[in-house]
Amino acid sequence: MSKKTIIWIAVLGVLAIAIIWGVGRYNAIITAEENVNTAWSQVENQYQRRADLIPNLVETVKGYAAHESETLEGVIAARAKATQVVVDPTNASAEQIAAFQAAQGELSQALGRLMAISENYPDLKANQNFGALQSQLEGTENRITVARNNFNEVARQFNTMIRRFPTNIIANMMSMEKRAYFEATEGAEVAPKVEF
Amino acid sequence: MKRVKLFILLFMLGFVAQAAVFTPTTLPNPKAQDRSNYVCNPDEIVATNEVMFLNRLARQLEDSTQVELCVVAVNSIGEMEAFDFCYEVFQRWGIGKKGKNTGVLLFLAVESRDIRIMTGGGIEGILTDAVCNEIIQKTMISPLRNADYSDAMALGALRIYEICTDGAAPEELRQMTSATNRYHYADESEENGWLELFYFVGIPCLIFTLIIVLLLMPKKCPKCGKRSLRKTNEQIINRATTRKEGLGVRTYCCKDCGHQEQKTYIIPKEVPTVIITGGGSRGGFGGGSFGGGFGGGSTFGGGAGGKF
Repeated sequence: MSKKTIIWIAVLGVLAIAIIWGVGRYNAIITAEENVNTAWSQVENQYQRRADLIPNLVETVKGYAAHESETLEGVIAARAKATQVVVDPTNASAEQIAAFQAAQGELSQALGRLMAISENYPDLKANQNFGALQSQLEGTENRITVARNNFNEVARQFNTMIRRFPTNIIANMMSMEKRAYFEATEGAEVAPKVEF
Repeated sequence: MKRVKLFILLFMLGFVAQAAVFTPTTLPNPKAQDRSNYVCNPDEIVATNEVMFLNRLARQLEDSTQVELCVVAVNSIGEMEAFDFCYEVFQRWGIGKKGKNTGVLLFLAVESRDIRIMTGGGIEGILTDAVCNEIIQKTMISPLRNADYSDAMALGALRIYEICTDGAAPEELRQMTSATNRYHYADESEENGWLELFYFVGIPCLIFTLIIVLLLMPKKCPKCGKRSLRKTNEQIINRATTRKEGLGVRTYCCKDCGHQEQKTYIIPKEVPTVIITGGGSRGGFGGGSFGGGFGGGSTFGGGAGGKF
C-alpha cells in the first residue's frame, strides 16, 4: 500500500462524500421547490373555487334584490379582474404575489358587501340555495386561508433551506431564488362570519 | 401512605385546573389509549351512554366506508378561533386514512358556543360545506341551544353516518384517493433525521467498504505487470508498544508468474485504550403510545361551523 494509493483513496473518498451529499441536497431542494409549487397551486385552486361559486351566487341574489345592481356588478367586475391575474409559481416575485393578493382582496371586499346587503332581504336569506352557497363561500374562504398559510410555511421552509450553509452552495449552483410570501392584509381577507 | 394519597390528589387537582382551557397540543388524543375510542370528551360534556353510542357508530363507519369520525367536546378553548383549533387538531392527529383523507371532525366548545364540522380533503365531495351547514342547522342547533350537548353530538354524528353510508357514497369513499398534504408541526420529530443518519453513518460505512475492497484488490506485479500480486503472508518482527513502533514483514506473491517479494512495514505505536463516554444517539422512537392513532389524513379546511 503505497502512500500514493492512500492519498488517491482519500481524495476519491472525499469526492464521493461530496458527490453523494450534493446529490442528496440537490434532491432535497427539488422536493422543497416542488412543495412550494404544489402549495401555490392549492392557493390558486381555492381562489378558483371561490370564483366558480360567484356566478351562481350573483344569479341567486339577483332574483331577490335585482335593484342592488351596483353591488352585483361590483362583484362581477372584481371577479373578472381577479381571474385575470395569473402568477407563474416558478418565478413569482413579491410584486406579482402582491398584485394577485390585491386583486383577490378586492373580490373579497366586493363579496363582503354583497353578503352585507343580503342581510336586508329575509326572503333571500331563507332561500335554501342561497344558504348552501353562503356556507360554501364561507368554507372556501377558510380553505383559502389554510392554503395561504400552508404556502407561506412551505415557502419559508424552502427559503431557509436554500440560504443555510452548506446547502446554499448547491442552491447557488442551481440558481435557486428566494420565494415571496403572502402578506397579512388589514381585514380585506377576513372570512365572513356566519352567525346562526 | 397518607402523604402519597395527598400528593396524588394534589397532582390530580393540578391536572384538572390545567385542563380547564385546552389547546391543540394539550387536547388528549382519544386513540392514544384505546384504538376503538373516537371521542375526546375530557370535560365529560357528552354523557357516557352517548359516548358509547358514538364510539360504536364511528367504528361501524370506519369499517364500512374507511371514514374516520372523531368527536371532540370541550368546555373551553380560551381565546382561540374554533376553526384554527379544529384545523390544528385535525392535522396533528391526522384524522382520516392516509392517502384517502377521509376524516371528519365534529367539534363542540361549550364556553365559546362553537360548533363545527371539519372535513378531510377526500370527503369534501360527499360532506360538502353546504351539507355540513345543513347538518348543523337542521339537526344540531336546537338541542345545542337547549344545552342538550349529548343529544346534539349523537344526532349530528348519526347524520354524518347516514350521509356517508347512503347510496353510492360508501363505494366512492372506499375508492377515494386524495393527495396528502398533512402539515407537519415543527415540534414533531425532525423529518431529516434519517437523511442525516445516512450522511453520518451510511456514507462512512460505504467509504470503509470501498477502502477494504481496494485494499483486497490484487496489486500490480513489478515483473510481469499483471494485476495479480497478492499478499500471502504477514509476519511481525517487533511488536509495537505504547512507547515504541513495531516492525513487520509482508510477503507478496504473483499468481501469474510466481514472482515473490517481501516488504517491511512499520507498525504504529499502540494507542492507549480510551473509553469515550456521552455522545449517544439523538432522538428516538416518536410517540410510543400503546393504542395508536388516527390514520394520518389531512384537511384543506373544509366543512362548516358557527356559533349556536
